[in-house]
Amino acid sequence: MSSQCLLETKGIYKSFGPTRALVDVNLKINRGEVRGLIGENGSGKSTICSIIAGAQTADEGEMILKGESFNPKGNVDAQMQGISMIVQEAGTISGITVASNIFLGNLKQFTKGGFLSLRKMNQAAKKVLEEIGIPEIDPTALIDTLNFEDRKIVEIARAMYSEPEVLIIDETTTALAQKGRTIIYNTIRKMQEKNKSVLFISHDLEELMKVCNTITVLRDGNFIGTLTKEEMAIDKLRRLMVGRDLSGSYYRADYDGSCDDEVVLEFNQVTTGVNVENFCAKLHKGEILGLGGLSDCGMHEIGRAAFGIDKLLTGNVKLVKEGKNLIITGPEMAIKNKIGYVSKDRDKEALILTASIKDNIVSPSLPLLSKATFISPASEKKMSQEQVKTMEIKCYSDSQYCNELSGGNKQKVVFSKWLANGSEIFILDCPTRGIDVGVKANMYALMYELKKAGKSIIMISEELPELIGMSDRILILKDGVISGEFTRNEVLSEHDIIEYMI
Amino acid sequence: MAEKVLAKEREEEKQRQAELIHQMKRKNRINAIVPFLGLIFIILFFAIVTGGRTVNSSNLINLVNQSYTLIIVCVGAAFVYGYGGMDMSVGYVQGFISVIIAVIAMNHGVPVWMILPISIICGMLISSINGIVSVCTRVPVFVVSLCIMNICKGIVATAVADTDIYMPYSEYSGWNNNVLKAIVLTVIIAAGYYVFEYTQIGKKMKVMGGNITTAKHSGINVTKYTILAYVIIGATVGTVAFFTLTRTGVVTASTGSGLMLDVMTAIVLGGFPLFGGAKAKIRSAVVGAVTVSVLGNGLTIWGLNPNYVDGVKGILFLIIVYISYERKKGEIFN
Repeated sequence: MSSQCLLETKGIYKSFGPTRALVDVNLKINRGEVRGLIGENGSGKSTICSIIAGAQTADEGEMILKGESFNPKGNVDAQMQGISMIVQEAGTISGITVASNIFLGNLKQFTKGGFLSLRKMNQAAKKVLEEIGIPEIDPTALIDTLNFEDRKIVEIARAMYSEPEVLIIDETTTALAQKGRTIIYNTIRKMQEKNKSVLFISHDLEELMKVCNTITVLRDGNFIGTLTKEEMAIDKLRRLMVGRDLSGSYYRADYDGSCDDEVVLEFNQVTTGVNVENFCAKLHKGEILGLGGLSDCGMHEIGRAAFGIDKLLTGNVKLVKEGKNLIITGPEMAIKNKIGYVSKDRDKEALILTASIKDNIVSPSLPLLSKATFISPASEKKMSQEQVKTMEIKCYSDSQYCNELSGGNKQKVVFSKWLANGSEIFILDCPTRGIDVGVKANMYALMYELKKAGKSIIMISEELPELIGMSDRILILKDGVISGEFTRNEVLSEHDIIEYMI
Repeated sequence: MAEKVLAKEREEEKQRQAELIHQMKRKNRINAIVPFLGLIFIILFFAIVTGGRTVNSSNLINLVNQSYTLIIVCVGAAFVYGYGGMDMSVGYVQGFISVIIAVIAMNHGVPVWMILPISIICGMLISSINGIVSVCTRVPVFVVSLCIMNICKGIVATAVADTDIYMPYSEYSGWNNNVLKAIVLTVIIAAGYYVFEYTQIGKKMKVMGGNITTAKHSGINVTKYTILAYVIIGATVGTVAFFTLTRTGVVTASTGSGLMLDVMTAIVLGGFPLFGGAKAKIRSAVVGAVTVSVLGNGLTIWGLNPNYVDGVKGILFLIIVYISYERKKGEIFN
């Protein structure tokens, strides 16, 4: 490994409104190095990466690339200078072809006399896709015909065609299954072989330790330290990230999978427009029911069905309340009967980003707060401040806007919505997606408390460890039907479950 | 020793954080008063350049009559723009209502006092078509209201094709009364303020303006509240149609024609977010309406050809949107 420095940042500062995202961050990345970057949500990982990739500018500080001062004017400019980034959220543009997505903003090379040569562009796209090892994607296909995973792979192609010196991967693997992961790992290895560098962000500590030579830890925008391969250990990393010892266990400690016999929610022959076929299941009082499988196995649709979001083709979801059976007809009715739903797409579905924490928390509770048509500001304030306090939402006041919060804090706000209105049944779709260990531990503790208080939870998750760690009972789905059922026990392992998924 | 240095750094960091919070709060406060300052500036400006003619008593009464219409409609418009909707049809809906009530009044079929409720109900019915069609067909309400606007425009043009329609003015002159108008105005602003800021209706509409999917997932019946928003603006347009008619006594092809641009300009001038959401406030709509009225009135008295006033408003609208519209910078991929 050559120790020649490829990229260096010196004294980077960045603030968003009153939030200090980065404080004096100094990074030095050598050629041939795969650098991991970890930290809790809001620690500034994504911010430093987007500054390096040119998507944002720093308030203070300088960057040096290959010995020269580096001031990118935007993503495309940064890419032309040798820095590519694969972003966390879906970053493809719908309505255009795969090839157009790959060469987004860089069509000049295929243009002659004002005309774009589609043939040349498609050929070039084909070549890039072959190079990263996925020749089966057709460059002329519309991006919308691809599934989420393949779209992500198209983004990898977009990052790689310019043969970057530094590749930044921002929490991409969390959204990918094995195929996509393999492609990313291969890409990283190739970069390393060519003596180039990779900056890799992930919440998966084991993955980081496997892939990276060195790992840098950030906390609250501060540079905490860089560990070499020899120094890496999961406990040490966690401690550095959180800044204190995480006491006790991560998941619940008991192996008692029993719960009340009383059924609170019943799925009868539920068939949805997508994926799910004749799904039958019962949720009991005080039970944590885990739903697992591959991302398109239908489990997300079941969550939506339980909340009445989508129309069902056949069957129904029955709520048993005070001995009476009620059919779920829509979110309004579901909420009235104390069901809460945490969507897997937090920013697009669960939150109003351009509204305050308070406005978000009270949004499902407005009918409860209304006294003879009047909603008093004091009652709203009381409700939201209670939640901010019990959920320990990090903010300067509950009037702070949600788009200024970190991922973990946003998720706390979403949970608060349903705690505040006294929900009895919680449907949690990927409740810990993109959340760091600190907040994750909080969420698990909260779920356990809810269970103890007799609330019922459906937890839909793509992460087997948390399903095994938290559920009383796990249902595994494959292609829309139940392929396996497991009750809580000590010896249950991922290995036992995986074969039912694929 | 190292501990001490760390503690000191932490203290400094805390102070810096407090400073940033303070700065942002100040910025928010300034943003909130800019529209008021703008209004005061415009009033002073025209008072000076016209040598006080804009602030003498006869013009002030004139101004109240002119701004009266716009303020009332803007209170209704706050609900529509607040939930993220848009209404291009207000002006010609006013024209259409005017035709209906003028015809009814001419035929002396109903008692005089019933004309105002009829006008309001007509407004609610006609305007609600915007919401109903948009919800049922899932055509964006912007397009639907543009069509409704043209339909109403056509109806008015047909009705007045041979001759303008005249109200039996003498029977209604008692309604053209400044005290009555002041009472109606106060009641509408107060009611609008209460409903928009302190009840489920206004709060739910703001949630819809912020994120329509979140609104659905929060149990808000978005179909109902979309239609309701147009019913509310329709009621205000109906009110305005009646009082305008009692003042002018005549319906022509241009009745209500400038209202739509005035409403949109007022909304953005007052600092009301054009696409709704949590920052929507009734007071912004009212301040904006007064500003637009003062501006139009001032420009005319200053000596600008009234035919150019719409042009000036159009340019102003563009400038304000340019300044206030929040763009995301440096983001190509998202």
